[in-house]
Amino acid sequence: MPLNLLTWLLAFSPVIVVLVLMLGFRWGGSKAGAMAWFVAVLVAFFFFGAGPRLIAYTQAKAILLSLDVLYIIWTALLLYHIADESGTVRMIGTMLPALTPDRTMQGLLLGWLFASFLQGMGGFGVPVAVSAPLLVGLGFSPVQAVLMSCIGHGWAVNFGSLATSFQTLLAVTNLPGTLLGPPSAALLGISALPCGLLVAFIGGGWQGVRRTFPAVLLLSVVMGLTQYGLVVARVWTLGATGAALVGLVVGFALTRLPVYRQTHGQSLTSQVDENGRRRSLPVAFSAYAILVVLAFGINLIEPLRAFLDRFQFTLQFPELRTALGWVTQAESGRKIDLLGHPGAVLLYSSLLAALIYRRAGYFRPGAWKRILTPVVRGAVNSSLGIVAMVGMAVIMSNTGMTNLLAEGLSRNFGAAFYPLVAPFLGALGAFITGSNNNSNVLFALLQMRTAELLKLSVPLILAAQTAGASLGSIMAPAKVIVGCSTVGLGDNESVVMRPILFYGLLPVAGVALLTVLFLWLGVWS
Amino acid sequence: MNGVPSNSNPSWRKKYRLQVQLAALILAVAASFGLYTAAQNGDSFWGGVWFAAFAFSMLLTGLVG
Repeated sequence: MPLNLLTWLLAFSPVIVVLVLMLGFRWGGSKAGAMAWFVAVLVAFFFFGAGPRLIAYTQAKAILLSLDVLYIIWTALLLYHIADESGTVRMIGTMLPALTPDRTMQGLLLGWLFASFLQGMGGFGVPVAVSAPLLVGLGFSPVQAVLMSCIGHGWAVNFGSLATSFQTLLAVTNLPGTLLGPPSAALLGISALPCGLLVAFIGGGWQGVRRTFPAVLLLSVVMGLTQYGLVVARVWTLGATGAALVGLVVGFALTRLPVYRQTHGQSLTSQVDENGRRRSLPVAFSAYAILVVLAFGINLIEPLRAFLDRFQFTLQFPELRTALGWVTQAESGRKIDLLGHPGAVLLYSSLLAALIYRRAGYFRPGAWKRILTPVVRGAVNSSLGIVAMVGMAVIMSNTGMTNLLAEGLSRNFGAAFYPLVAPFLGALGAFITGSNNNSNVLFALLQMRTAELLKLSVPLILAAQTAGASLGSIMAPAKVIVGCSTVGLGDNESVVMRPILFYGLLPVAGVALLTVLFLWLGVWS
Repeated sequence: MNGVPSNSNPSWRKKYRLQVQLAALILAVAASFGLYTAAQNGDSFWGGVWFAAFAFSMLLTGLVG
């Protein structure tokens, strides 16, 4: 397919449909996604030479990717509603004000540090699904909660989920991690600062930013340096987890400073529920403690990992070719680890936590009905949105539409401007596909070749690609849908889409400027 | 309308929304695997049937989503 304005706009049309319907007409994600899927199929069939066989296989690829995400959504909601039924969410809501009465600090602890920690361990939407409802429980509005938890963990996506996205970048480009790791860790480490400041601004306005700026700056430096150190030491799989863990420890320590000090005299070891019964804090938090222990255990104990990896489900796909000659190589579909998947870890945590809460007498009669009803209500709409949007994205990718979009963007910018464009291209890929990982699959080679042609630093441009994708993934409708479904905005994602596009693009712009600065300084050239 | 759902009465969408969405989701997943099987077997008839089923699930999603 030749590149011209018409073909570029045709390739862009499914994305335009999503944007117009969600932002302009305030449609929900599932409805807009369904419409965009129809547009993608029609454009692919009539203009990009996609035959019925290609569309059939593409849809099967898309459902594997979707199931990989849905496994997490359903189980994350289950864990949340079990914790909610036990009173844990209310307890966090009363405990954090006791830890620090500063509302912005509370927002930073949950929306920035805790969400980043969850991204490090699980990712795939878990940070938003878990921390957004906790923020609502603290009294933030649902829109604030989704914005804070989405933006707060953007810097941690690339090295989160045990650095899955970064590993993909290495696999696709066939370049060593020692070459791509340092610039990626630097760009994303510095990006922790704008992410934290945006969370502070959304949670507490300019006053909140002024009051918490020293804490945000210190935490950004600590987390950025920790992540950089781990990546340079070749332990990039724990880059985000380690950084966020250190951030949480320092963050809790900061709440003891006079400026953020507690003013309430509530006990931090037990709380009293509305019926006057005392509740143990360790028991109440056991759901999340189990989640942490299981996530680390399953990912770090190699024999256990190897055992669980035996139970995988995937499909094999042949080479696919459009009538216009766009070829997608034969490949395995997304491997779903039935027992070692983050969704499985959430399921184990949910069931164990339910057992503990039940034995502790935290469940009232009819608990399971109150747990399962909102799980189904919250998850089913999001699931449809994800199935539709991922279907659209995979059709675009397998018919050459996504590549045409990228070529159009890159060809129109020379060596002087391309470093500014590279992170936005990564962000676009993540926005369309909903994933840092998929953006790297789609655009990493294109970015590398463009950098070579323009004689730019390949490691730095690839770092800009994955950093932009990491920060851009938080704006993806698929992720926003997840967040909205957990805070009761399941039909009204558009109220989050507008502000998240505005706030979410700021850190990406920061990465663009840093890329230019690093090129100018000759770092990683 | 004796309780029969009809397009002229949008309240059915609210009443049966969750059930319709669940049905659409199950249909979408089943149809996707059906499409894979049909493509593997080169069976254009069942390929068409499963594609129509998936498109119908998207239509339902658009209607009640």
